[in-house]
Amino acid sequence: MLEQILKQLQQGGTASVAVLARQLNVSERLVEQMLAEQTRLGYLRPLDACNQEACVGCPQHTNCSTHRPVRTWGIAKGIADTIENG
Amino acid sequence: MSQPAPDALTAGEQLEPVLKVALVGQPNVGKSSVFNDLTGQAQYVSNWPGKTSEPKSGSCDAQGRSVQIIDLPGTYSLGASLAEERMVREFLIRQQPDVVALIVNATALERNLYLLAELLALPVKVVLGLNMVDVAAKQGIVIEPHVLEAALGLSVVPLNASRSQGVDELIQAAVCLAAQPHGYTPNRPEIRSDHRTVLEELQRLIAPYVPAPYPVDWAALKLLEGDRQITELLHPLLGEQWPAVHAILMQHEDAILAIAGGRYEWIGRMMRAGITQPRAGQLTLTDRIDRVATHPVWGMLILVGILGVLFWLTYALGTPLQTWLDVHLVQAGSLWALAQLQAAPPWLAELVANGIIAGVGTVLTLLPVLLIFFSVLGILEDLGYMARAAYVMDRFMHLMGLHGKSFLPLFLGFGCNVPAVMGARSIESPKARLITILVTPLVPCTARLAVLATLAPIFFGAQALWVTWGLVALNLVVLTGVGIVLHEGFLGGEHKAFIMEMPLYQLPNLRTIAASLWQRLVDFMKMAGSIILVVSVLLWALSTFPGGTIQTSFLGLVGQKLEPLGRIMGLDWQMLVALLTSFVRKENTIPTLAVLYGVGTQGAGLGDVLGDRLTQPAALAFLAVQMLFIPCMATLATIRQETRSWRWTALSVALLLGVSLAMGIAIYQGARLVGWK
Repeated sequence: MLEQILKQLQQGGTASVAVLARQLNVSERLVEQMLAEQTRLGYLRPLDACNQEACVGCPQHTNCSTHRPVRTWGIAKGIADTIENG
Repeated sequence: MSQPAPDALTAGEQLEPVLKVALVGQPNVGKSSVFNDLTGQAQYVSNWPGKTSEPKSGSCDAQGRSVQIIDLPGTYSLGASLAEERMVREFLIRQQPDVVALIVNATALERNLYLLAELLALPVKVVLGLNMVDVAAKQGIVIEPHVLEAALGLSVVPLNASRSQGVDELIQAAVCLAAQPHGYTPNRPEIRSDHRTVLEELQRLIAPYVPAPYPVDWAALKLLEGDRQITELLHPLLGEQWPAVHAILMQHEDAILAIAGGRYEWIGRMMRAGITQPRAGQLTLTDRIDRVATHPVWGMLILVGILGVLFWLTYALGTPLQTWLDVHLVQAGSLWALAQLQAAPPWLAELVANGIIAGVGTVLTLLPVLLIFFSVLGILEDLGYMARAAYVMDRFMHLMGLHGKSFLPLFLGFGCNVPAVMGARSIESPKARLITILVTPLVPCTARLAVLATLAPIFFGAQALWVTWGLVALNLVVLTGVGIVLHEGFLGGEHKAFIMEMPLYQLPNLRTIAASLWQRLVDFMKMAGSIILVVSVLLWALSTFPGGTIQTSFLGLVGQKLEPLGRIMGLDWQMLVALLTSFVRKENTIPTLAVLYGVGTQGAGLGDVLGDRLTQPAALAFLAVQMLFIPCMATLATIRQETRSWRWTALSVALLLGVSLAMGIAIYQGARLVGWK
């Protein structure tokens, strides 16, 4: 099931947690748990817009972040090639 | 049924030969409540790192047997990363309790079942205590214990530990299970068949070397998972067998995905079998709204509608206020400054009145527009809609090698390109960030739209609305085209994939929105105000020196040199100078045209003058160039700052200059070809 998520990501595009949950026929909470697991294992990485080094000291940081930040995950560097090569 | 005085045990100590039941569970699932209720002790009920760092023991009687209850530290899994994890699994392996009572939180069963999945890999018998079923029921989570029991293949006992409900039944189930030598056949998670073969091979290789009491199959599984503790334990013991084992582990270093994936698949099956998730309330409302709001077609239409309302509000409310501020703040301020500086050198009075006050004042006139724009944006964010907007835009954005996240900075570009370019830093892919920065100036900002809204009625009268929408659409089409070219040709197609969380919809919190709005406005004023001040002085100097009038200024001289280019688009040099001054600030187009066409500082006669000087094809070409032209100086400075490259900044200028002029020429010459005059 974890591999299915990574393969889905490998195809490109943005998937929502809700859509992944529907595709895998599990709850959104379980998908979030799996994303946390894959993050812990180093396969995914959180891509939060805020708290990045580039934003430190930026006078405009309030214009590119939201007060309801949306959690986003992407494939960790190096992992994409590994999946592609099987 | 209790004996007080808990005594701390360590993983290596031997217990009395009575029936041993270990309480296992994640932190804060009610394990200590169960322990206290069974043993009559008063262990402090809480959990933080180190609090329950040692097993606690107590005893009770159940079904005529003396039972020792061991409360193990709360743990989320049986990995080797944390001390609690290692302690629990070491205890279970070394002490081998007769039964493990796993206490789980019924409101978060998915998370708790992962621990069960790991427990089932150990040679222990398990009963499941389903705590907080009452809370789960209130949340609409309906659990069928018998169905779940059948699916799991082990006893499931509903509990309400805080009220001592179900605790006796739990210990009775544990005693019954301990009394059964056979018949315990839980439904265990499985791993993929190819990995199963590998696991069997590993078991065969390590079996002679695994020290007691570690189970060989569990040790092999942990090796395959990459468990550091087991690897360090077995490495020296395996001796010359290690290279073969190591080779297998290297060949299957991603086996953890298959193993953990198998556990999650198993959790999904169990959840589907025994649990009915909530069908009413906020979650369902969000789901129902999202069916439409994130639909590829309806979602896009909703987004277009929301953008339409946003623009309508911005113009209907913001533009009149902007005009009012322009008259009562900028113009009145300039006149006041001229009056006050009568005794000063004329150039100084001109600089203060027409350079500094006019420049900084114009920034202040933008405030109503930005106030409305950011207010609506804040409401949409707090409502939870912006994540959906980004998601809906994803397909469109992918044409340019971007994803929905790029929509947010681009959306900001409708307000002002400066924060939009800066907003691109939230995109972590360097290529996607660069493309976003390069195409952002093609998003028509409020200043461009204000110029368009002023000039379109002059040139096109009743048809102005259609011309305006057409030119906005043209910008977005060009933006997409440029983005595709940059992505496919220039920057080499790089496709990124992301997973986004969709927050629940909620009623906007006005205080939060107001705080965010205030911060945004202050930041905008600080940054744009300082840059505008500098460039305003520069503009004044370029349009004043060396001759003293705009016709004899540097700008005028440059404009006259560019006249041949203007003729290809049906434009005279004054129109080209208006384009050039828009580089400093987009709104400069209007006063520049007014001055150059001799209508003074009063805009009232501009329509008559321009109507006489330009044909409709030339006017359309001019407006198209104006909309696609190089961005203002502040945006360009921000592009330099964000890309940290003069090369990319120069490319941005060249790109937009080329695209805008090509479009202007194409429109004018095309119109002439079809006979439109």
